[in-house]
Amino acid sequence: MRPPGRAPGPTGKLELCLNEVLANLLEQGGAAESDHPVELTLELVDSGDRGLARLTIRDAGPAFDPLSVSRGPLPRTLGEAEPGGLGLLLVMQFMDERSYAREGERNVLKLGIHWPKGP
Amino acid sequence: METASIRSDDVLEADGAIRLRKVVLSGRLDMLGVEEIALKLTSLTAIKPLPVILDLREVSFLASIGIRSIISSARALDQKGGRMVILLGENALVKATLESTGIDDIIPMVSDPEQAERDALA
Repeated sequence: MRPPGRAPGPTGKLELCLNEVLANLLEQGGAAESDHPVELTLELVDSGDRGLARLTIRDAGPAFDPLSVSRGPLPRTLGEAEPGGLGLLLVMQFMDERSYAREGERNVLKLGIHWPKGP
Repeated sequence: METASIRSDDVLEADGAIRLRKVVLSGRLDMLGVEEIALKLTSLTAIKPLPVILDLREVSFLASIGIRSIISSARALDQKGGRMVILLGENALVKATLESTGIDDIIPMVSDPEQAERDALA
C-alpha cells in the first residue's frame, strides 16, 4: 500500500530541481564555477488559466547539456538501483518545460513548471 | 538555517533483543543535511539484520543525494538479511520525489505507522 498524500506544489518541485542542477554544477563544474558565478533568473508568466514559473540557470562551465544524458529504466530491485542520475531524473519528471542552449561561453538551462490558477 | 537531524528508538523483546528499530530523519536532506546524518544512518541501519522503519514524515526536503544515502542503507541492510520500510505519513513532496525515481518499487512505502510496523515485521 502506498501512502495517499496531497499533490506536491510547484514551489517545492522547482526548489528541488534548482537544488539538483546547482549540486550538479558544483560536482561537475570544478574550478570554472568558482571563477564565474552562476546566474539565476526567475520569471513568472501569466498564461490565461494557469501560471508558469520559468527558471533560467546560466553558467560558464564547459559545454554540457544535462538534458541529453540518457538513463536506463527505473530499478526493479535494490541491487539494480544505481546511485547516479537521480537528480536529472527528478528534473525530467517534475518540470513541464526544459531546454538547453550554449550561448557564447555559457550553458543556458531553462526549467519551467505550470500551476493552475484558483477560481 | 534548517538542517537535518536523526534519532532512533528500539522496540525490545522480553529478553532485551531488538525487535524493531525506528529511525527518524527530519529537516532538509540536501548536500549539507546528508553530510550531517549519513554516517549515523549507516551505523543505525546497515550493521545488524534488523527490521527498520525509516520515518521520513518530518523531512521537509529530499534531494537526490538523500535518496542515494537511503538506497545505500537499504541495500546494506538487505544484504545483512534485514528489511527497511519507509514511513511517509502525508509528506506529499517526499512521496512524489521517491516515486519519480522508482524507489517506491524497491523499498516499501506506507503512510500509517501501524502498517509500517506490520510490514517491517512481516
